[in-house]
Amino acid sequence: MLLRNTNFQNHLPWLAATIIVLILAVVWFVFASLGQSAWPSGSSAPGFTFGVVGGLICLFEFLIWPRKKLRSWRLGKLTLWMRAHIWLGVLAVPLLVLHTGFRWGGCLSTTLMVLFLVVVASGIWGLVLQQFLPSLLLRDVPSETIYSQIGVVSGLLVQEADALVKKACGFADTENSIPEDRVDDHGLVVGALRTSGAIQARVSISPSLQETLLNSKPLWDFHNDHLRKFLASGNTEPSELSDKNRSRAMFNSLRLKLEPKAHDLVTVLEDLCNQRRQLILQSKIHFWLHNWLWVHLPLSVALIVLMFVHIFVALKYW
Amino acid sequence: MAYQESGKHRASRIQLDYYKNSSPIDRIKHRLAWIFFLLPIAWMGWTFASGDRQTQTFSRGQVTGFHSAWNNNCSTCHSDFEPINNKTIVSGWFGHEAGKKLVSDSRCESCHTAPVHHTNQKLESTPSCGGCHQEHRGLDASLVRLPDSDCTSCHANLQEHTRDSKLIYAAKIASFATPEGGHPDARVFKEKAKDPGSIKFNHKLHLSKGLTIASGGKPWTFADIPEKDRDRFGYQKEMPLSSAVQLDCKSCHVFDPADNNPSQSAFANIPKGLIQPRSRGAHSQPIVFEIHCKSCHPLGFDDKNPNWEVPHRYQPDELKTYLEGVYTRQLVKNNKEFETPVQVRPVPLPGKNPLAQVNESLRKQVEEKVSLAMKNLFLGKKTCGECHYSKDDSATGSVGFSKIPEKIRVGYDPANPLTTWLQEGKAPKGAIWPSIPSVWMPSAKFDHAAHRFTDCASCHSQANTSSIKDDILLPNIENCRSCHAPLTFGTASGKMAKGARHECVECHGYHHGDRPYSDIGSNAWNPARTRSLENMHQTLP
Repeated sequence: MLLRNTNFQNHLPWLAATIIVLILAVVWFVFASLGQSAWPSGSSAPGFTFGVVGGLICLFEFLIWPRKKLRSWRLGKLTLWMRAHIWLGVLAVPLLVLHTGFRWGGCLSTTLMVLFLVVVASGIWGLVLQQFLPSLLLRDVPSETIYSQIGVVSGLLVQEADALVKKACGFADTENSIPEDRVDDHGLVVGALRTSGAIQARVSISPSLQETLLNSKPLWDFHNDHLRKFLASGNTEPSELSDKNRSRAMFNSLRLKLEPKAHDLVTVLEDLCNQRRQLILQSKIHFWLHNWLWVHLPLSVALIVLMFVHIFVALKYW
Repeated sequence: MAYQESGKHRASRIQLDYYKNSSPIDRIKHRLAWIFFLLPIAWMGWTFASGDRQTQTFSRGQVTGFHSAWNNNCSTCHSDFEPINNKTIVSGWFGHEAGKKLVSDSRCESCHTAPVHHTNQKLESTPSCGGCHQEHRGLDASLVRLPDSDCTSCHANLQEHTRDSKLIYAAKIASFATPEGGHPDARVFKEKAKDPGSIKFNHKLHLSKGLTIASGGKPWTFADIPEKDRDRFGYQKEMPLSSAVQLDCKSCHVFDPADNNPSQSAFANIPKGLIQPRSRGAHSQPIVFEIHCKSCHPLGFDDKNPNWEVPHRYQPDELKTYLEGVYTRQLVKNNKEFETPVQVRPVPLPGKNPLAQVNESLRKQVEEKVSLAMKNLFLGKKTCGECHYSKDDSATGSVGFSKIPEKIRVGYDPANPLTTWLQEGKAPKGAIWPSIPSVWMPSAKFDHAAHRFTDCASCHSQANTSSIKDDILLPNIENCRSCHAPLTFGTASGKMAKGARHECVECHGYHHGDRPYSDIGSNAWNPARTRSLENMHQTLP
């Protein structure tokens, strides 16, 4: 959460500075408009000043993108940048509206203002989302993983479930057979071998059933009919396992059909299913947490480009 | 107890080089960023590559309808990297020096040569054309309805902006709406000035019913007015001719020549310049004797021939010559000696004039008649002396002359200090001034037509009581402020009050301040170079 009770003290100076600058700007603007038939334009002293300051703010706002990309450059704390990004962005709105003198102007200036307002609105939307979605993620997705790895992790979950079920059912799967050296007394080694250059990392180890079940058909059918499909496709295909309560009922029903020594295995499979549901939720939350950037960033780029054109044209045809 | 994987267990599923792979969301974001980086560049490139589109794209707004023919040609008015408004704070950044003429000003003046405000104003205080006339505010925007600040930037402290040490205008004017704004009353009220005109006129008498103010006086009736002129003084069919005439303001003060409605014969001797076609009604049409006065004030001079009248606008010596002609013609016509045809007269001996005695007799008769007529015209209380002053007389309200004047005064009274204000430095060279001022505030403008919804007495209430011509019957500035001030809620009346426009430009023009009797029709407004229709869009210079 970017703005919360505990860190509001950090935002207070920015809020105060924003309000003070805003009041001074409005007073100057109103004072300059006394006796005029129209609001001061962008070429008036206050209008020009607000334009320059607003333009510099826009430029600074945009620099947070390279700042995020160049973390290793240590250009100040990112939290400080983010606070400045938020409050200067808020301040830029009235400054640039005053710069326009409450006029849209021509095609270029109208485009600029529309872009600016959409960028600001998308930023505010993003800020609002940032207020509660991260806490939702923390609360409802304890199995959160790196977003870009959701596909990889989901694939591993499928492989793991396949291996566990096949072993319990006594199938010798040549394709996914478990090498002897990857089975120990406590569990089953599953997953891809993780390497990066010369570095090789550990793979995950899940507890597994060491004996073949006598009546493994319910497990096998459940795995093929429901579990595998859900773990593989997630929410792209409708599945009863996508519902938490329905899933619990189905696994309980499966336990009743299996002998007691298989119950631990079912618990492991249920946990895999639970993780998959969390990954689905994480995908949704992550999408909403970041999709506003599809508007905010590209339009910011266009805004900066057109802002320089606006400066050139304004000086040429002053 | 339910089984749950540890974080370490989950972390073991993450690829070591996960950071090399971006998420779909990031990939879309970056692709969109590139698109929106290239899109405006392409747009601007396309715009710059095609000439006319630049205007449509970069213009801050449509120019006014008057200039819309040049809407797509920036350089008609703009000069690259030179502010069109020399009052902006960046003017100096572009090397513009205060007081130096802008290229864009020259471009404006290629069509509009607007004369300077005052020749004694400081150049550095003089705004550029674009400093006041701001364009790109829409088709219907006004270029001449300017904010007060354009004027008060100098007039709030005029001394700083003029080269003369002595000011003839108020030194500090901040606004018109309130007395605190410093706007003075009209100059004609200064030092209790008197009407500089040279026509005696009693408004009170002429606005009284029957045109008499004496108790028991004989009323002026329609029977006293020639039949052909009765209609224009309010006569209607079936009215008894004994009805008293009641004049009102419109009987004499009309704002369109068509409303004068004089009889055809009245036009005969009217100078053509007194008839202004298509008057906008700002000022009253000139008072013309033949139209407004003659019906009741005929210029008769011979009691035996009451229909004989002298023409108006003749000086005494001209009148004498005219009368000599009239009487000579009459006597010759009536003398039997002149009835014999020329062909049958005996040829006179050389050096003898058979009509010499007759001529001498005729000359004496003519002199006597002319002398009597001149006395009738100038020494009676009616005719010339009733309205006119001798050129050498000091202007008074008295009626009649004590002797036959050598010259009748025309134009303004030269001894009146107001004459200097009304004429000096403001008059067209060689102007012949009327004897009744028609413009009382040369530095301001007033439009009677715009105020036609009010009755005349709302502003000219003194007209009903003024009995001498010296009275200036103009309202003072407070009368103007009763409407021309910010909208207020009248606590006494409980109604909204005032609210009419009260900006400087409502009454004042800027250009041609030294010659306010001229307007945009004068040659001073003509551009140095004119265009043909074919090169109308060409940039000059």
